[in-house]
Parts: sequence; structure tokens; C-alpha cells
Amino acid sequence: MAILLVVILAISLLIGRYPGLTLLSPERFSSDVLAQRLVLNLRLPRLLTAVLLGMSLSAAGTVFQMIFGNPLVEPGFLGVSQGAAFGAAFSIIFLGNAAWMVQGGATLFAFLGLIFSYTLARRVQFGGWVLRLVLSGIAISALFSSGLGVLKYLADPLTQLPEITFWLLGGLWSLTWKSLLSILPASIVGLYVIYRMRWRLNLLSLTDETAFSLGTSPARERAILLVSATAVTAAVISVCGMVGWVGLIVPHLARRTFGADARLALPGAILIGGCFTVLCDDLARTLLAGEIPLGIFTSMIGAAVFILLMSTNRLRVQR
Amino acid sequence: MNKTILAFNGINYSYPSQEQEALHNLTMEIPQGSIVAILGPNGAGKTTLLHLALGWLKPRNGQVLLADQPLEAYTRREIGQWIGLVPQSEHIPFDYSVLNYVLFGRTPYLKPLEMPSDEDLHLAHQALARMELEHLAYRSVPKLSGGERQMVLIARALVQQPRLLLLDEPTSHLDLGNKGRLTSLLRQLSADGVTIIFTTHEPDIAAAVADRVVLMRNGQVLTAGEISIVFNSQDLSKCYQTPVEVVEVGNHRVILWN
Repeated sequence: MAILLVVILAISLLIGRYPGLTLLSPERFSSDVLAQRLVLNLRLPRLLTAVLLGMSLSAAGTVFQMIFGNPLVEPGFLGVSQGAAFGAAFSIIFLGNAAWMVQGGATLFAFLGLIFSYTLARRVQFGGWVLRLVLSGIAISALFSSGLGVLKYLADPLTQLPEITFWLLGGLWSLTWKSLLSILPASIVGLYVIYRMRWRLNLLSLTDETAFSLGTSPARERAILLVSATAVTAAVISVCGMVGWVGLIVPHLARRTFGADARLALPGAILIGGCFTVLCDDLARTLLAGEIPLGIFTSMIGAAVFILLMSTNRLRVQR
Repeated sequence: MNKTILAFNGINYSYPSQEQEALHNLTMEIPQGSIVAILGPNGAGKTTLLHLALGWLKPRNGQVLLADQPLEAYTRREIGQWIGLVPQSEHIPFDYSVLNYVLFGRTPYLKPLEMPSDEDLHLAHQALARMELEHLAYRSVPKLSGGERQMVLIARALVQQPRLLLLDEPTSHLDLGNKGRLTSLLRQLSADGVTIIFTTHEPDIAAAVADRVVLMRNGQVLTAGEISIVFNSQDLSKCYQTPVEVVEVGNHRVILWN
């Protein structure tokens, strides 16, 4: 799988619409200065961000699904995605359209989404912890999406609204080394924590008292994993926009391929996620002369795979 | 008499959303190596008692002592090494293999970021062999029958090598053959020095394997003590509020009801 990812990366680096819709030959690369610049300054950071995006969303998706013992949740759960969308739109309208403002707003509100959902869940008086979190997440997401509706209504239809819409569709066209470097620390630290805790992830997918009886501290360990998963999600969506379905579908594929044990399923999901977003982004930037938003491809392919899994009984949900 | 491994000192407990106390003024001592059966009608507080013994629920008043030390004095990992819990049933959301699932029982022996070793895997195989479950090792746990799952849960507790084993209605899904295997396993474990506390709705199972019995009703202990003294028609009838008769047949006690 790792080898496959490297091969996909190498090919993706050379494929594109310069000089025409072809693979860039090594001779051309060594002689053409423009081609070198294009590959090193545009394609390479974009490609690495695509890998990071897929890896982060898939790892976070695996964490959310396992912690909630529910294969139908995804990283945007608990108000994280809707919070980020609201934050980005807020920044675009009120704080000027600087890239770092949009990123900052998205990250801040993604975490606020998590904090609000968590606080609300603590105040709910009925049901188990997971049910309370799920319900709170739905409520907070709905609140943020209605807020987003208000912002869209207020937005200038000629300048701000298209900007918000493109952000919501997700894409990697504006990526530079700078934006990659700005999210790299949070993503790498978050992914590392999740990777190291993958055995605990198995335990935390069981009921609380069982996880407790096996020597874990369910509440504390879940909190660490939730914050890590939210951090990586917030980091990548802050620069890439809303790229849907990756975090839902890739963990399923990984469990199908490598089994349920997170010792293999988690690294499997990280690798499959990396391949998936790079391939989708290759299509997004080469298929038409103009760029197609990445989120459209991931949703289309993700939903198709999901329908396939459902109709072939490969999807099992108990709760 | 053996020394006390677990002691409840004046425990009161009520669930957050309920006014009525689930356990009221519970005081008792469990001698090391004993097999204790907890009997009582639904809602008597049996499972609550097990969860308090594990430290999963914290008493409102009173103290639980494990080997003379308050439970709070132990780390989470230490409690995992001391006490194994076999829940009544468990929701298992993903297709873990039986071997994998049993291996989870080694977690209290791992550091927070550590992965199980080959030695742990070996112990998991051993536990499966002891429960005669090796043929199921690579089957998916959620696809097993209720009885098979219950046996797998017990195997997971065995691999934990606990000194105190808590079982919540361990025979509720078992057929006669597996009930027999479980009772002889519990006797073997007790002979090895493991203390066993189990709840059950089957007085016959208690009569067959326990040496001490606790009868509970409405969150209170009605009576507790050695089975030869406590297990009588009068106390059982009072506990279940229905006529129960204990009849001796050879060396066995048989329970007749209704």
C-alpha cells in the first residue's frame, strides 16, 4: 500500500496540463525551467497537501467511528465541519479575505464546534455518553449551518458569495508551500498521536465499563483522541475547504481490506486516504481546462462506493 | 478463614437521574478464594454492586477496599490487573476476530502506547484453548451466537489473569454443556486462589458452584453468608417474594418454585 502511494505520487507529480494534457517527460523536466518551477512550486506542495488531506481526514474518520462505536460518523461530526464552514464564511465577509484569516477562522470555529458539542453533551441529563455527544453534535451542526445561511444571505453576491461557495466545495488550487507549512505541525503531531494510540482505539470502541475494566481511562483517552482528530481535520479543511466523504468512506474500505483491528486498519486508512485524495485531485485539475472543485469528486466517488457497499451488504451497522 | 480480598464499608449509591438509592448501606466482606453468588430479583442492585467493586461507579458514601487498600489508591492499570469483569453482554460495533478480542484482555499489562507482544498473543491462544474455543479464533465476534459470545467474554477475562473475577449473569445465554464447563472452570480458578463474584437469576447454578451467597432485594442485602446456612426455603422465598423450596437430593440442593 505504501509503495502504491509512492507510485501514485510520482505519476501525479508529472501529470498535468503543461505543456499539454500529458505526462511530463524527464528530459523536458531537466531542460525546461518553467516546467521545473511548475512542478516544484505548484504541483509538489499541492500534491503533498492532497496526501496530508486524505491521510488526516481518513485517520480522523477512523478515530470518530471507533470512539463512537458507529461506522456512520465522520470527522465533521460534533459540529467540527459546520463550525469550520461558518468560521471561514465569517472571515470572508467580516475580516477581509486574507488566506490566513480564513484559515484561522475555520480552525477556531472547528474547535468551538467541538467544545460546544462537548459542553452541551455534559449538560444533557439522559442517555449514555455517546448518544449525548451524537445528539449535541447534530444540534450544534444545525446551529452553525443556519448561521452559515445567514452569512450567505448577508454576503455580497458578486465577490463574497462565490468565495464562500468555492470554499464549501473544497479544492486545492490556491495552495503554496506557505499554506502547506502552516498546517504541517498540527497535522503531523495529530497524526502521530492517533497512530501511537491505535491499540487504545480498539478498546475505546467497546462500552465504557469494559474499556474501564481493561485498565484504560475512557474519558481522558477519548478526549485526547478527539482533540487530535479535530486538530488534523481543522488544519486540513482550513486550507482545502470542505472535502466530504473521505473520512466516512475510507475507514470502511480500510476495515474491509485490513480487518477491524486498528493496529492495521488505522495505518491502512491513512494510506488509502492519501491515495484517494491524490487521485481525485489529479482528476480535478486535469479533466477540464478549468479546475473542478475537489469536493465534488470525493463526494461523487465516495457516495458511489457507499451505495455499492450498502447494496452488497458490506456495510454493517448495529446501533 | 481466608483473609478478606474485597470489603464494602457502608456503601450508598444512587444513579444520577434517580432519586431512589440503588444500593443502601451495603457492608460485607469477601474472603479470598471464595465463590460468591449474588441473587435477587431484577433491579435489586446486583450489577450496581459489581460496578462498585470494579471502581467504575463511585459510592456516594462509604468505601470499597481491595486487599485492605481503598480502590482509589490503585492506578487504572493496577485495577485492570487485579479485577476482571465479564459483562452480561456487550455491544461490539466492529468485526473483531475472536483472537483479537480476547487479546484486548492483555491491555492492563501494556503501557499506554504499547502494543501487545507475541507472548500476549500466546496467552490469548492459551485462554481460548482453556475455554475450548480455539476453533472460533478467526471468526468474527459479532457473528457468534449469544452463548459463544459469552464464552469469548470469559476467555477475555481469563487472559487478564485477575485475582478477582466479577461475572454478571455469566450463564444467561449458555446451554447445559457450556454451563457445566463454566462451573468447573470457576471451581478450578477458585482452587488457584482466584476470588469469584457472580450475579445470577438461577439459584441452581449458585447451589452448584458457590460457597457463599448474598441475597439482595431493593438495594439492600437481605442476608449473606455460607451457602449451607443462607440457602434455605425461607430466605429465598423472602428474597423473590414467591414460594421457593430447597430440597436436598443426595449431595445436591434442588430449587423448586411456584
